Amino acid sequence: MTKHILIVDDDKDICRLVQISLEKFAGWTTAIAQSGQEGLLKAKTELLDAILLDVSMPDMDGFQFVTQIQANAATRSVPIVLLTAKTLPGDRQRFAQMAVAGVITKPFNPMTFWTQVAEILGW
Amino acid sequence: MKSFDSLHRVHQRLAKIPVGILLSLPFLVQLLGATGLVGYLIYRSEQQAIHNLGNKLVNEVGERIYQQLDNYLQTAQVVNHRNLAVIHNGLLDIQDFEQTGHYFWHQFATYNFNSIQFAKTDGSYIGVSYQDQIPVISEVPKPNHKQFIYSTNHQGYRTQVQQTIANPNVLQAAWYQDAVAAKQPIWTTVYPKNLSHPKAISASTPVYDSEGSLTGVLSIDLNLKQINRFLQQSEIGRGRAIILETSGLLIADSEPTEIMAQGEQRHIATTEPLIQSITTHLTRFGNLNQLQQYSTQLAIAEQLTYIHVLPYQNAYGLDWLIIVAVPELELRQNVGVNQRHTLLLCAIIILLVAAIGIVTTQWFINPAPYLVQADAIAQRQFGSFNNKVPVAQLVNTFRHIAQFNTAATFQNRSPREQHPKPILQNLAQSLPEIIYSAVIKPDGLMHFEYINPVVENVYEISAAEFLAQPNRIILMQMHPEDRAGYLKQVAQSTQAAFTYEWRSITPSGKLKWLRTSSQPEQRRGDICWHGVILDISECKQREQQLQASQAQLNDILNLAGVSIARLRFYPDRTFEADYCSAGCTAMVGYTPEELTSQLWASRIPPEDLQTVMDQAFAAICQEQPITIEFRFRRKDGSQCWLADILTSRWDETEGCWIVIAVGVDITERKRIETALHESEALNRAILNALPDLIIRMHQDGTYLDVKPTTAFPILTSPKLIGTNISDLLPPDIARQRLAAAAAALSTKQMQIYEFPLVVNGQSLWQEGRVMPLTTDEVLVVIRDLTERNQVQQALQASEQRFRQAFDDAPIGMALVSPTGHFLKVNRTLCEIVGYTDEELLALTSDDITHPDDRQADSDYRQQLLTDKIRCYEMEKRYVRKQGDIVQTLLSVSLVKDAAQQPLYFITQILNISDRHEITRMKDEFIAIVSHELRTPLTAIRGSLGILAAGVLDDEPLQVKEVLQIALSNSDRLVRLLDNLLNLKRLESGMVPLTIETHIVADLVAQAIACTATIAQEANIKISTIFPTIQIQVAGDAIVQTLTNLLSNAIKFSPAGSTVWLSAELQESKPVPYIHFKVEDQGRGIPIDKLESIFQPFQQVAISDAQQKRGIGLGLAICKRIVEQHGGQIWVNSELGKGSTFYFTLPIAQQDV
Repeated sequence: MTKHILIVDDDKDICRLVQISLEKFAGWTTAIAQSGQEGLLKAKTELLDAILLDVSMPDMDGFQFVTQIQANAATRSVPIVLLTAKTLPGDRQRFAQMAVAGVITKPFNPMTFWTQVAEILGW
Repeated sequence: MKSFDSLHRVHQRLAKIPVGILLSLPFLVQLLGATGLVGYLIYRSEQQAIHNLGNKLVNEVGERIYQQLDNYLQTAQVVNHRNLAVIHNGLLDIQDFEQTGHYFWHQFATYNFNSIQFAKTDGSYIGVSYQDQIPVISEVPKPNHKQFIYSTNHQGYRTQVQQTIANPNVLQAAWYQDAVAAKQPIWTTVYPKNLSHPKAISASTPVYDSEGSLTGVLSIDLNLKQINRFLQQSEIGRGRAIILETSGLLIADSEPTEIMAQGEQRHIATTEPLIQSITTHLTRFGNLNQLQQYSTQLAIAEQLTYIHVLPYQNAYGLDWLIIVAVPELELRQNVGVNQRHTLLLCAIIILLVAAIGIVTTQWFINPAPYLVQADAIAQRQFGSFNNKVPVAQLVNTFRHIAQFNTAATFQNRSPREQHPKPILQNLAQSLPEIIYSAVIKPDGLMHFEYINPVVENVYEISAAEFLAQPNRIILMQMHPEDRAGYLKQVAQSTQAAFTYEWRSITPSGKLKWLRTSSQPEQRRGDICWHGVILDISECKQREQQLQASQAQLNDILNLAGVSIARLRFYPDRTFEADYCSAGCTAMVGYTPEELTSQLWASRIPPEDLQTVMDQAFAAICQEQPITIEFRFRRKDGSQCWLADILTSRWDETEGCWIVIAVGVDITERKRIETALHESEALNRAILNALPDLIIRMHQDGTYLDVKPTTAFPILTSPKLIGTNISDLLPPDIARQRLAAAAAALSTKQMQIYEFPLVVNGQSLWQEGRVMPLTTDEVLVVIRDLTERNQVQQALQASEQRFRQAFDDAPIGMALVSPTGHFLKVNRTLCEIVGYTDEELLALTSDDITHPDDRQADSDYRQQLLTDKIRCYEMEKRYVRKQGDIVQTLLSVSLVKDAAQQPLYFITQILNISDRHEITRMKDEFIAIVSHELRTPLTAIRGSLGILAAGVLDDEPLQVKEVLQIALSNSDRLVRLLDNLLNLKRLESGMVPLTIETHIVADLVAQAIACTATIAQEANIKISTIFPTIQIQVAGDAIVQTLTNLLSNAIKFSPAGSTVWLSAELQESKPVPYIHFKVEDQGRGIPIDKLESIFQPFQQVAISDAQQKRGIGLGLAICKRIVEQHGGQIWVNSELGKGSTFYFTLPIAQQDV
């Protein structure tokens, strides 16, 4: 069964590579948002199975984004997986307090990336 | 009858002796007798003088020897004691024999010792002694080694080995063994040292180290010959002074021949008669070592010899007897001359007086022949006369004259004899007494036959009136109380001479004492009385005065606190009081009747009684005046001290001595004396204990007296007395002291001054105190301050160093009381916590501690106070005065006093905020770098992964896209690394700038080209204004600076806004500057970040790095570049309105 994933990252290169990776290797469909605001908008308008979220973005950081997703009843049930370059122990502690399904660290293997997402989300 | 005849014959013979001889002979006999008596008394007094002299001489010599001996022996012990102190204070390393030998040499040169030495327990030895009158240093350098004897030079350094001795074995010596056994300073027994020193004694003291184990023995040897020497100098002529040990050993002798043979110790049981006699006498008192001070006279070799025995004992175990013996002959020699003079004088007096007597007698008897001749003529006996008139003839002549005169007095005289009458009457009239002849008639009334006119003076009436009614007038003028006695006596006296004294009241009212004396003459039934009446008023008056005076005297004696008694003292030592003045009762409470000799004896303490009795009896026997002092228990039980002055004379008739005892109560005097003795002893002890040199000095600088002190051995020689200060001290010091003396005398105030003095090459600092003593004498007290000064200076330096170290310490330091109050804080601490010195001292440590850290700090302090830990370290936050928090590392220890009571905490506070900051920055850097590296890496890794998987093999457009992504991200990675390396190189100064001349326009154009892409993407317009000038700069670096500033401005500017880049020339000395300005309309920078943003890895917000793709290196690089060019960079900003970055560059580089 195909999945529809929203990719939120201010780095358009990363967005594109994640998109190619998920589409080519998993056969899922994707949507891209290059800022937090755009991501929130798309989360409301599209029927999503999951959101892949970069933690640091110019307009809002991951915390604010998750909070706002959780605050909206329409989007609350969409699981979020963090995709981040922050790998220090302090960062992990902060992520653990967020209402997210899991964390995948950059850089990632484009071939097996989708399996990591599936595993986190129990697909 | 026969005897009468012989008497008569003697009388006749006597009568034929010429008058001249009769007068001269008794006179001569008396003269001889008197002179003989005087001579005898002089002889007696001389005997007594010799006796006193003898006793005094032996006493004084004994005392002098005692003093000299004590000084001599004390010096050794004092020097030992001082050396011990020097060793204990670490001033002398006793292990260093080189130094010790030198030290001993100097002491040896100062004192008159036989040797000074030290032996270690291992047998090594160092000492200084005499060899052939020259000081040498002896050393046994190592145990079981030879002994080397070195000769020395004048500075006390060893010059060469004179002699070596194998197997010296000093540990067997008496001075070592005795001191080790005694474990304290002692005098050794007397022992033979060597041939030249047959008798030696040592002052030895064991030396212990700080742990109490024996290090060795210090010792000073004295040669007893030295004592012989001052015994010989004791000026007793043929007398003898010896010192005996109480065991009987002869220590020293004034006789030079008495040096004992080697190795032999001569005891007193020798054949020497003097010593034998004395000791035999002394041993009668029991053991010699219990002998007290004692004087006596002994007959030794038929010579009366005065003996004085004085025990000498001291704390170090000496027990000697000083015996002084002086034969009477010695004293008599001097007195003998006096005796001869006296005898000669007596003889001259006898001759002179005899001559005068004879001449006077001759002169006196010269008229006698003429008198006898005249008498013979009067008696009608004519014949021839010679000049030698026999006594009988002269007596007859006088008798005739007397008879002739008597006959002429009376009325029944013969006509032949009438002519003398007027003479007698004239005589009677000229006498001051009443002369009368009166006949008592049977009626009992007196009828005066004759009375001279004096009666008028006495009775104050005319003689005629008196003679008219003599009985009435006599009785009338007689005092009524005397009349009865008079009448009674008149009635009774008929035959015997009549004498009566009475008071007479004259008509003028005068009271006169009269006395009559008369002789009866029987005359035909009547009695005729011939007599005189004397006016004895004056006598009576004197008698009354005498009585009054006696009464006064008695009062005085009774009240003066003096008792006077006349005692009869019997040879059995009992006495009776003939008279005791009332003062006696006042003094002791007993009446004269109670005060028998038994009672007297019972009231004197038994221990005193024998001595008092002996003294008193001895003096009474010799009829010498004596004063005895003794304690006496009064009748009320209290004890008093009495002094009795006894004078005695032997009364042959009564068989006893008559003793006049004058007693005085001296209790108070004794008490004062005792107090004075104690006070004097104390003063002397204090004076001796003083290390100061005390000099009594005349104002002209002459030393009058010097109190010796061990602190100034060189300056205390007795030779100094009488020397002038200018001959003793350097001129400036002498002048200074004389000036101080003059000032002290004129102001009467003590003068204190300090002065340097060089003694034996050692520089000393001394204090002089000059006090006025009399009008021209001062007392100078010199104290050595050298050590005090050194210590004080060292202490001050040490304190100064500590204070400086404390104040200037680069870490915060504080002394904190156990209650937490700051006691002392240093500058660094003030800087750390932002409070001033005064503010901190008013606060407690807790007041400025972060609340979260207080408990931990307090717990630690408690553990320190309860000795659970010795110190602690903790990281602690202080709240600064400004309110911010400073992170510190605290290190605390506790200082306690000698009684283990806590005094204060020493706290060291290290500001570790920087360290924290660096840690934080490092963490941040790692986070940023990690993030910034991972982002391009992710893109590259992702791209390559997709390509490698081959899923895009059929889609060449997508392949190209993915490759482009990989490429641009790898460029980004390279840029990032370049920036990092650039900064590192710029900071380390490794990259020299390549200075070239550039046109400003070129540089600006390059920078704009670099940022054109991002400006376009962000929709930012860049506007520029710049002068057309050339500047000498490193072009690439300036382009990078401009690029960084423009990039930042673009990054933080809202889309559609403009960034301004401008430059202008500023004229200034010495080189003109170009002034660049980059202005944006972005969000601005908070004021507190304006400085720090130029530091590496500093950004306005942590999120800036992620948001704007930077790691905070750009501005740091700019700053380094500008500064390397000699320019400055800074920023002005207003939050929300934009920021303006400025930098300046000199247009020409001077030194490049």
